[in-house]
Amino acid sequence: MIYFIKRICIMIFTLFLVSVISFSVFQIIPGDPALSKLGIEASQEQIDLLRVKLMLDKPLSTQYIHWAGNILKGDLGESIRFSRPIEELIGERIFVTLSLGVYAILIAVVIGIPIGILNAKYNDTKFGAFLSIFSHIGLAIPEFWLGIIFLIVFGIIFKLFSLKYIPFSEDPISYIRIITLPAFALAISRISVVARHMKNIILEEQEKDYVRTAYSKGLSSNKIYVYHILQNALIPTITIIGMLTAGVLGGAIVVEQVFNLPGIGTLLINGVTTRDIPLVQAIITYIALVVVIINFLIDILYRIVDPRISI
Amino acid sequence: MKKLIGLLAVLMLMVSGCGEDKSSDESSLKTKADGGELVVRISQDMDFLDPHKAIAAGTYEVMFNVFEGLLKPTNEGKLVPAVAESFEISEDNLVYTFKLRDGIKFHNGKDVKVEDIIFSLTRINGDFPGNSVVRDLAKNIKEIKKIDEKTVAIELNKVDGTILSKFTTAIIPGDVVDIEQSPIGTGPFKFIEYLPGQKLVMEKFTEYWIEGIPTIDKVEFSIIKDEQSSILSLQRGEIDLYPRMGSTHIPTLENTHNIIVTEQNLMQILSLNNKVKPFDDLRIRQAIAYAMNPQEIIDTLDAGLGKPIGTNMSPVMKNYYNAETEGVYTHNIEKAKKLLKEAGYENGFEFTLSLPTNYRFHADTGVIVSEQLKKVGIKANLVEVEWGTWLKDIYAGRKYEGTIIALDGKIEPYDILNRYISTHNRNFMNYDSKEYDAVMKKITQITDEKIKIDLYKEAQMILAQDIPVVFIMAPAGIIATGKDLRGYTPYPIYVQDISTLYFVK
Repeated sequence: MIYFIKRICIMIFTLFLVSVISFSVFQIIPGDPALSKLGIEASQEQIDLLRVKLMLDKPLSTQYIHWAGNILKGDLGESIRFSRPIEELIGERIFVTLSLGVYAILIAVVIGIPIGILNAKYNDTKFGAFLSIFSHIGLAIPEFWLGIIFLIVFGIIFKLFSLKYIPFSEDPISYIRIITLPAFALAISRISVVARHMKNIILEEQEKDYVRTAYSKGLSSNKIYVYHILQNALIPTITIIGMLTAGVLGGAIVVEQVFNLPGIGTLLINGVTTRDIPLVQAIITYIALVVVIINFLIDILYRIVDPRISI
Repeated sequence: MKKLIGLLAVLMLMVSGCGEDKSSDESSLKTKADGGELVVRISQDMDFLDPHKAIAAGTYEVMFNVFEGLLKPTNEGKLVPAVAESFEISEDNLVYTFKLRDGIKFHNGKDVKVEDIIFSLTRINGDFPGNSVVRDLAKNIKEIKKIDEKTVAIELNKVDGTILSKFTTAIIPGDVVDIEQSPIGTGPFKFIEYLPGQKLVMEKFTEYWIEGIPTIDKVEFSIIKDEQSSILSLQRGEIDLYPRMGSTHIPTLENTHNIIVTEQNLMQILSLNNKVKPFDDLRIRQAIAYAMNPQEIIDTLDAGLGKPIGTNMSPVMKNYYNAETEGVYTHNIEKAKKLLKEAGYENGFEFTLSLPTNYRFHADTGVIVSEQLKKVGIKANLVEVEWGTWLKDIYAGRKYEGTIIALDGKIEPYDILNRYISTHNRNFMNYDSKEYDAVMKKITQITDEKIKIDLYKEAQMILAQDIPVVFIMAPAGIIATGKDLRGYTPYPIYVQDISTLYFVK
């Protein structure tokens, strides 16, 4: 029980730190939300009016307390740029980012784990070396570049997919087809991450005593893999998926931009470029919350899967 | 003597067919189709849907199809009656009497009444941010009187020779609850939905006051920030109309799409901060003007399609543009060196040239400019500035040495030239000339168009000679459309008129 309370306290403190840091960053970078909204034709008096309305004339601490107070009441505030409740804006877009993220993680796990296993099994052969090179390349390719290449190859040359966004509610099949390419662009480097982790874990497990015992009992190597090694390798794999989550959320921001998907990522970039402080604050806090909760759940899972672990 | 201005409007709105169509005309056998759905690429999001609050040019460009004022601009840069049918101006130029157009309706199906006009023109007095057009009009209205059910008289505080263009201010229904959520106007298209950062959709208004307009059933303005993605979508046929495309894409698209090249009401300038040494010295600014070669920039970056300019006016403003300004400073390295020597900078000098990162075109221009200035010993240190920073520090704060940007033109020449008045709050070049201020002041007190044109030309010549900023070019407007889309009408202002477009089958 004490463990849980400790974890929850750390979570809350993390969220607080994230929100303070992101709030402060906005004071460091130049730019003015009021000016960004009203554009270059606005007069100074209009800009000043809006600044007062947005509390930008108040000291930073006052602004933060006001904002945090609202957050605790469950009010994310209003976007400066769009003059709309942020809750609505996020609500409209969260599904895109989440579905893209889940899709990418699925691809990474489904493809990455078998590659990792094969790579471990054939570690000393040419085939294994080839797989290793392949996963190194996968790690090195940046998402945005891959996204653009995908667009050109599959979108323009082969005309395999459409760039025209269709919401899930209108046509689920088309929607899934549309997010397939971005999900792959997001997943490629993660496939390598999963595969390499998997390979290392298995190689580590192979050296352990119980494996030698199993061999000496005359079990076939396939059986040993399936029943012993893989089962023990499952625990670290859960961690990997947890690690991927934060990365995927970050990567989604870039990929959404390339594929022009109406997700949280494009909204965040929009917010940063227009200095929409409340919007960016809300999104960053939101993402931090998701990451923290997922990490928390993974810790719990860990304890369930392996009672020996106490953190 | 009363001046009566009549019913040119309808004829004016017909397609004028300017802009040269560079596509092969293989489809001339096709016939005009009724209806159809159109997707237009825009790069900027809306700021406000409320037409009296909206300031961003990108918003006006889209909502031009939804809202109309008593008058509206045509593609020839003229103003014609819209919600009004005709108007009269009193002898002392203080009272403007508008007659309401018969049978004109709002998108909600209700007839437009004189009360709606009064409501709209009273509403703009509200204390909310509003564009300069709305503000100037609000400031000068003394009284609005209802004469009868069809007529309204607007009395001004003082004579303003530029007031007509302000009557383009949108007329909205008096009983509208939330114009920001449901924009209702009298334009050819009816607002349907807006998803921030994604798209704005409108559909044909079947009861529009001009018969037979519009043809297209539904229009989606798709907000795509990334240029490359937009081009790909265009190639895949997911976008039908791509306004203001970069000239670099012409070779990729000319065989598959219609490319329309037009003149734009846009002035690209190298702005120099006139309050910073050495730019406070006229000879230095002249030297820079002589050292630069705008034609080279046009050929390199704008496929040779842009037009050189000598002042803060685009040749597209035919009636007002002073073409003589183009020859004031022509590329001449020797003269530039001589002037630098006279000013005490024989070995040149260094300055910081800030370039907005979100406009690749201006950033690339900066690179060429720095190469050109190198030849006379001036070293421009290029610094890329993110747009939010550019707005705050350079445009509003005037903390810079040099920058490159394009200034939007307006329908009213006064609104283009007033930036250079010494007291104007958007005079970010810090230009200060008593002579110029006096000419601009005179313009506002005169309503005779002929005299005004002469004064505008005089003002432009003062700018050309004083060269507070170096005028580079009026970039060409390049529009790409699908092969089956016809009837594109270029305007001398920042709008996309969807009402004249139609598909062919």
